[in-house]
Amino acid sequence: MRTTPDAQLSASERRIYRSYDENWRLRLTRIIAPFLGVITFLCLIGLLIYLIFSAHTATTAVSVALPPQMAFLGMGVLLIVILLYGVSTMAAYQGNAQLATTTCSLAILTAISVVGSVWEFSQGLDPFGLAGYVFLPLAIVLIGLLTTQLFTVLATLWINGLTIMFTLMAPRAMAIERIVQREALLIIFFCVLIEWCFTIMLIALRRALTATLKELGDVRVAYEQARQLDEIKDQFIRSVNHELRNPVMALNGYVKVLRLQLDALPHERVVAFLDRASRVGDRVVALLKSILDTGQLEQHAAELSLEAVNVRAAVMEAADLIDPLEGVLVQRELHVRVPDELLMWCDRVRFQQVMTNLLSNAVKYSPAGAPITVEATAMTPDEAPHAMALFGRNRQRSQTPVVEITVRDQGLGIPPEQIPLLFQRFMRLPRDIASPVIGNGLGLFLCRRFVEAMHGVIWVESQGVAGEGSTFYVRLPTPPAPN
Amino acid sequence: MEQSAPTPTLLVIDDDLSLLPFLVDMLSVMTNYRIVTARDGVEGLVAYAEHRPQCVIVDMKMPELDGAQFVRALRGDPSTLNTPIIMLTAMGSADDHFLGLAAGVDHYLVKPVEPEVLVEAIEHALALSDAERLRRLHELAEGAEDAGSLESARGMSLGGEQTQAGEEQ
Repeated sequence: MRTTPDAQLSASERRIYRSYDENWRLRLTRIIAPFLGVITFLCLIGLLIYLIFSAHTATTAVSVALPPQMAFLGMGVLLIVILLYGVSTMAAYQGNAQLATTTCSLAILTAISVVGSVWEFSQGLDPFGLAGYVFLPLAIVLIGLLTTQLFTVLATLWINGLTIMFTLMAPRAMAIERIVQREALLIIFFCVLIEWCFTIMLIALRRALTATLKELGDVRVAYEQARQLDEIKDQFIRSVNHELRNPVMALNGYVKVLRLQLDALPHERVVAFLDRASRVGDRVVALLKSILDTGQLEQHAAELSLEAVNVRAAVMEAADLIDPLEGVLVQRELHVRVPDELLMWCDRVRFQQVMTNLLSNAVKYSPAGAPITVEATAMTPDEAPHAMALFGRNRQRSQTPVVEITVRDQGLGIPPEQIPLLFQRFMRLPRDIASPVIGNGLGLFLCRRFVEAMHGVIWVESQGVAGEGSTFYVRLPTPPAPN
Repeated sequence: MEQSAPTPTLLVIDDDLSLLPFLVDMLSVMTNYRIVTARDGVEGLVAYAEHRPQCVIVDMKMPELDGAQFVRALRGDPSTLNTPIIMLTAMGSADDHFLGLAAGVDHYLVKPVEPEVLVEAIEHALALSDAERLRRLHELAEGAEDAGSLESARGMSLGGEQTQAGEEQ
């Protein structure tokens, strides 16, 4: 069995675990509560008939008469019990397991206590009354099925008390007076023993059941997780499908056209076609590469060679690498405000990949002409004004100085509620899936993996307001001090 | 209509930055039509009104106005009803196919398409007589009456999936 500490479960997964137990109890209550309600109602009718009957035949030989005030008390309590069963049934159908089982158990306890007392004390302890003892373990069984272990134990103690009280204090019928007097302790011992047997059995049953339900819950959670991943993958395939079919058709088409028309075409056109085909080919290769990169990352962490890297130089190199297909940076103002001597400790190639990705995102998702700003400063994490907004679980708590690099654009921005999804694999924002902007939902996922592998953090801040854009933050360690 | 014109004009609507130039290159080499381009459905309608092309090649998934909406706009207007239309799209599922055909296209082609096949489809669509196209559209309309509930059901399920996908993001 997979051990899943509660802390690691998401709210929906915890709901899955709870729902199994709750559903089980709800189903049980939906049957037990109305059934007992009807039984109690029949008892009430019986009591009423008895009262009417005994009023008409006041002088006949009913062994010990039920005093009317006792009968009325009993009827009142029975009415309350019926009401409780009603509440319990309604709660069970509305899905409130806690209320349903609690009211049902209270009703059972009240009924057994009051009816038992009325019966035993007015009729006296006769063979009939002793036979009535079987209802006591029955109450334990019902309560044990419905409620928690603690409640079951408390109810058992209460019912033990009832047993002792009835046996010792109820008036005894002549016929069994001597037997009961002699064997009272034996009767009590025997009854209490049986009651505890039932309790222990029920607790064992509940524990086994809980364990089984937990296993079922594990399966459901695993299934849900697999289903979610599957959905994300489906979406990725849909998106890649679109991304891939166009360039593949263009690439294949150029080759076919050249083969068909090679002799008829003037040389410049052939060259132009080949140029375009090769650019389209680059796009296919880039797409495939990022898909394959993702697959490799899953298998083993990327191998890094950490070194001291000049931030400014690395940023400038990254800016040169931006795919011209994705927008021409020449048309953009790129403000780079990075101190010349600033150094960070990272893998040069991976950092360039991250930076290129962030810059090309900034280009892709902001209107032509909108400036892009890259800034970098050295700081200790405590000065960081945005400590609350750090993405994910990899918060940097150490006091070591870091370099914080920000990439700010003035584009569409990102809706705040979608920010947590942004760095996940295959994830593209809903608005981008239908848009012409090229993307495969892998770029930021790779960025996060690379930055985290270099012991850094990456996050984004955006209000989701078009024109205000978004700011991506990358925080990487500074080179270790030589000593 | 004006199919007697010496060089028919071809309107190509696609939002993909690498496919559109290719289509222009390919069609200019393989055919001798005059070629006009547009990047989305709205631009396409503007270009259509301006150039009155004899044939339209349109993508399905585009910003602003998608391919199916574009086709319905043309088919809904008696003056443009008879335009030969070819849908060239990456959406290959049965539902998409159904939506495309229901909108009233002459051919529904799923990318990637061989150049010859596309050219053949254009020629076939151009050769289709107005009467034949009208007959097909009527057939579609009659079929749609029977399958009206089916179409709306499919439309709804598609919409539902889309909103669901949106929420999951």
